[in-house]
Amino acid sequence: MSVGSYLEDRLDRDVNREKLTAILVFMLPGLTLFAVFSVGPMLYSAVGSLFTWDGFTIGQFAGFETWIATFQDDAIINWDNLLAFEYPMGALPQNIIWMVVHVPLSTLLGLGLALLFADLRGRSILRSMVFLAFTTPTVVIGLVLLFVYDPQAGIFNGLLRSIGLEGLVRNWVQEPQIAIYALIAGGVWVQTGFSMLLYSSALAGIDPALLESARVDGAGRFRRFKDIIWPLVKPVTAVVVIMSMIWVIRIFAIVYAAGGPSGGPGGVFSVLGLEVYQAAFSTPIEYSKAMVVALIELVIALPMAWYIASMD
Amino acid sequence: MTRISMRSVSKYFDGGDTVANYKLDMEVDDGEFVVFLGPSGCGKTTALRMIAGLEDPSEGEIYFDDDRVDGTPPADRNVAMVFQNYALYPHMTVRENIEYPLKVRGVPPEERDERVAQVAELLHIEDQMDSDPGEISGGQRQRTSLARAIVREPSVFLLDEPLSNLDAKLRLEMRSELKRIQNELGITTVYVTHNQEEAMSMGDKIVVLNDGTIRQVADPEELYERPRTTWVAKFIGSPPMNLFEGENRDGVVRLAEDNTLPMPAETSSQTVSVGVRPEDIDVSTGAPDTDWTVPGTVKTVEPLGEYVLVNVEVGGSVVNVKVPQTDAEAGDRVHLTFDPTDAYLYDEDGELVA
Repeated sequence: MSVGSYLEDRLDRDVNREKLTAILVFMLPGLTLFAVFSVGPMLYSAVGSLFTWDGFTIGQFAGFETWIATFQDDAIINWDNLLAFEYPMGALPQNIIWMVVHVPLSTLLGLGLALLFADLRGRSILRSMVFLAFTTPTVVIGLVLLFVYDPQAGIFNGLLRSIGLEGLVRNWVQEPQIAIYALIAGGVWVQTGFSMLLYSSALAGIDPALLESARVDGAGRFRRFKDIIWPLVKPVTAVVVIMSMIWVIRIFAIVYAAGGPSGGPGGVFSVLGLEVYQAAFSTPIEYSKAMVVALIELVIALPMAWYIASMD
Repeated sequence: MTRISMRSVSKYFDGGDTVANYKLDMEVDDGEFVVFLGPSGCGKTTALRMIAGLEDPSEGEIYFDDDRVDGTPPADRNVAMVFQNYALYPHMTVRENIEYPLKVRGVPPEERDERVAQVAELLHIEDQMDSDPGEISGGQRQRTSLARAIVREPSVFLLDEPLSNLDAKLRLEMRSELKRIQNELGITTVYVTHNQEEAMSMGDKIVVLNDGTIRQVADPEELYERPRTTWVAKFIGSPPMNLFEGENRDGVVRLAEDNTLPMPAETSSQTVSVGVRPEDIDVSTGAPDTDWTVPGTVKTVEPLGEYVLVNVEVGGSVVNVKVPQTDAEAGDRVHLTFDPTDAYLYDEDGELVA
């Protein structure tokens, strides 16, 4: 079925042929861009991943050889370490761990700060300060993290020293089993600003009479949150959670700035984006592998994007 | 059952720059329906919110019976409140909304169901129980909000302009409905409104507020018959009382343009006002045989069906007259006459003399 007849089917009776033509004409520029920069590359990768490549020159049809090889690659999934839960586990599980830790933390912190700042004097300054991290280029965040965790000059180790925990002082980004969490903390710092901002506007949209009514009805602080605020900000929670998940699945610059193209010592905090970059741009060039990893990212992100787009 | 007392209650905002209420002293008897009436911004809602516990008084004391309640949270006062915009929880069904105060207070589910069913019947919303608040009409929302308030059998029932978002017909209907429910349940009720018709028709007692202070506390008849100050006189009635201002000289009231009226009562005050309600004035074209008359020029005649409203210019100000019918037309010279028993005398401070 062609696009035209499909649209005609969906829109049918109410839209006459003339109107449909007009709609298509106006959609053409947008659709063209979408086709050239989104659908095209996706199809190109999907097809390309089934061939062998010599540099950037296409070779022979290889079927799912690259796909199978990729899932057996220790850099993508290190099955032995994964079962022992020891880093490096490979970019895919590490990326998922990042998601599992990062998303709830940044969401709840954002909500917490939004609630805390809601009735506070000087809230706009506080909000701006928290949101500043989100506006900072992620490469810079990565570099800042290097400074923060520096054993001599870093503020984090300085803090440990000042509270008498000298024994814990170390270069956190170089500790194989901990480094990823140190970086996740940085990611949370960035995303908290985003979720706080969304929650702040959602909270401002709640009719104060509802909360007063709940107070008169006898609900304490916790019940007012659980019964009134939380259900009313639910749509925002969905947006925040999914946007964070998509942000994490695409994460690259922080990791690259903090640990270079290898993703830290032995790739302990490597992520999918880094593997795409490495496969495509460092010798030996493995173009089909880059396509496969990029498609894995896409497969994870697409349903979430779809969910967000179809939300009311 | 509860008696509410406010003793010298004041409320300031912005560190004292804004005075919302100043030294309110009043009592609401057990089971009484009291209306706070005043123009917008007069502090009536703030007074209500202090009774509810949503605001704390800056000064003064509030008692429910003999217990001092100011400072205790709303949850501990057993008050129920109906908000102007109903404040229904949008994510809950009508049933869940009504059930919520019971749920919060840990009433067991069987009892909850029973009580929710009872109030639903009382308010005729049985058919809407599973709808969302967004799906039902304004009147049904209002009923839901009332149901939520009375379901937990509060000792005090507070209503903040509950009918102002309804259309005229529904408003009339809900007015008698509210009165019926309050009679049936006998709950001490405080009702805030700027609509004097609502106040007069529903209140056992009306508290007139302006600029944050109480101007008069009276039952509806008394408020209409004996408005204690010129301010109240000009506030109550539609159109309100006409006031003829003049000098108290030689036993008569000298008005503008050499008109005079006899003194309705004795006073030592130099400047006085004589008040007459529009419905107590007659318009006649011929010269009347009474001293209780002032001449004027008809400005407009508004036939309103039920009565005719004649606006007459007397000494530079407009006097409203309500008559059953009239031949007077705009531009006519007429005489306004009234019975001395219908005249009120206010002294220079605007206080009622007689």
